[in-house]
Amino acid sequence: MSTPSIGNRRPLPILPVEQITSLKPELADVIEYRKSGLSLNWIIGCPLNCGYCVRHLFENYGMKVPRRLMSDEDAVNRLVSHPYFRPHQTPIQLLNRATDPMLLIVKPHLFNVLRQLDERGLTNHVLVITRWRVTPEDCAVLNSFTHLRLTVLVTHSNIQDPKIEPVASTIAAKSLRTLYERAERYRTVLYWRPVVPGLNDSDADIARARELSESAHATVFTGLFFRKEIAAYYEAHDMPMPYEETARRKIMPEVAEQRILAAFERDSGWGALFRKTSCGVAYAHGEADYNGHFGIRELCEICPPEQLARCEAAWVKPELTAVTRQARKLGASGPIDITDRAIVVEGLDEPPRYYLQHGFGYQCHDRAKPHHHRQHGRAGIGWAAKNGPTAP
Amino acid sequence: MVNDPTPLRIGVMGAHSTGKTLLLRRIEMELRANGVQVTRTGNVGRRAALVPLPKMQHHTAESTAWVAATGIADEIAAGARLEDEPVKVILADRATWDALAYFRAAQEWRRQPISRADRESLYRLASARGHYDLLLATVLDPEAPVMKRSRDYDARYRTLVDRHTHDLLREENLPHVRVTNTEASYDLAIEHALTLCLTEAPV
Repeated sequence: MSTPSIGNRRPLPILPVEQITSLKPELADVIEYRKSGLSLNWIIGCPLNCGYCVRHLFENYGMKVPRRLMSDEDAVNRLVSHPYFRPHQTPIQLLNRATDPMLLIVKPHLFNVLRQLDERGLTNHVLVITRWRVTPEDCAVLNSFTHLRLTVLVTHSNIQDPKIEPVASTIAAKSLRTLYERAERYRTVLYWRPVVPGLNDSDADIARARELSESAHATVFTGLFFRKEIAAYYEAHDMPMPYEETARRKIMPEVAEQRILAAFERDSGWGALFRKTSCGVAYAHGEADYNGHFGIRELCEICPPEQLARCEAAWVKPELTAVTRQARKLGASGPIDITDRAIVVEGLDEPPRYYLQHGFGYQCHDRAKPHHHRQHGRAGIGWAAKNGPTAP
Repeated sequence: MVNDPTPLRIGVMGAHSTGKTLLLRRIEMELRANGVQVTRTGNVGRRAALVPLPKMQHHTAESTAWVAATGIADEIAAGARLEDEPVKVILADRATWDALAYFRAAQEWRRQPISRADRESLYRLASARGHYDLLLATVLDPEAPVMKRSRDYDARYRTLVDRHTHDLLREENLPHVRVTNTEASYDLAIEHALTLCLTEAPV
């Protein structure tokens, strides 16, 4: 079938320059390199009111009506000409920061950009994350892309407090099933998040996730981003505080993880379960993880054996000279080491570190921000040994 | 209706803590997700208390007139608000008839009759803006826990408000959609709103 462009609907207006310049610079910058990929966010504004939304961090939570920052064509050009973009290799994320890509008024633009990327013959992974409605017609469009490795991740929390989670979880559940039943060219992942102890980790919540995991090519569970801006919103709106502290990384307490893993081990009916987004995405496509998580071996204990074999085969410790050459070019300042777990650098922000990580398929860590054993990518909150033993 | 500048009006009424605001917030979210410019009014009760005026079972004809008139004023202001696009739908969190149901319940709670003068003036006020394009009426679920109890909370009064809400709708023959405390009933009410607004207020 032919892919639709904007259809009969009026395209989303592009914000005037003076409004764009008044945004936080990080929000006005449409490209951000994140762990799961080079993220393109040319549309901002969302009506969904999720209490824990990261838009709080960009002072954009009050913007309820989506607007574009540039045309779809300009957004594609900006992405593929980005210095960190590598055709067929760099994972891409679309509209995962400041709107939901499947809103009726947003998705024509999502499809337009997907079509343009696909027409370039690019085979990069593309991640699209939604909690909104996905229809059979949408699935037909998503199946029509012939080159991209496309994954639709459906966020489902089962949190019942409408102040925190105003979107009924039944919407995500229906979308997931619709996607899974029609998947031909794309894959779909149950994105079970944010898991918060006492809020959505009851036996019933876990049973619900288990049931939904059967309608997904993979399931990823993860915790809550709880930064000071989000905590301030909770406080101002008389919402129950999930944690007493805030943290830079996601909070996924040990007790919640143990409850989930115990349920997973007890019941063979679960679909494949992962701690890391890229692990679930890679598995869904029958590939090794593109973030080199195999180096952080304790993450892999729940992986299906065939996935472990794939990741082991693909995971190769890179040559120090090649790593050093690239890292220096990116601005690394201090010594560079390669351990059995990760490349360790100094003086590089997250974007160049992810560039190295995705290029070598090997973890790349900042020496100043070590990942602790069993707490990879997680805050220390909710763990007995708060900073755990530092990973070797 | 494409060129009609008058926004559609959707109102909700019903006893306190029966999900009125939650329902309208969901409708607001759904409409915005479909690209419809929408404004929601609300917080009239809290503002009445700040005046200060009596609330709940202490309502008087005066406080009822204030609540109804403020609701009307809010709706007019919401429709007139200058946006980059005109407002297509107004969501009235407490339709004007709601004030009357609360007053009738307060009078019964106090075992006092409503004077003919008060009745006539308040009914005139409540009906001054004509029918809502969609009127939603929540139904009290006695089994559901009451999450936020104000200082004035009284279970008997809340039950009376529920009864007077639905009696009033029946007596005045007001077309409305009953919304019970079930996900399916909420979904149906949202569907009604979407069907109305996406047919009548194309984006």
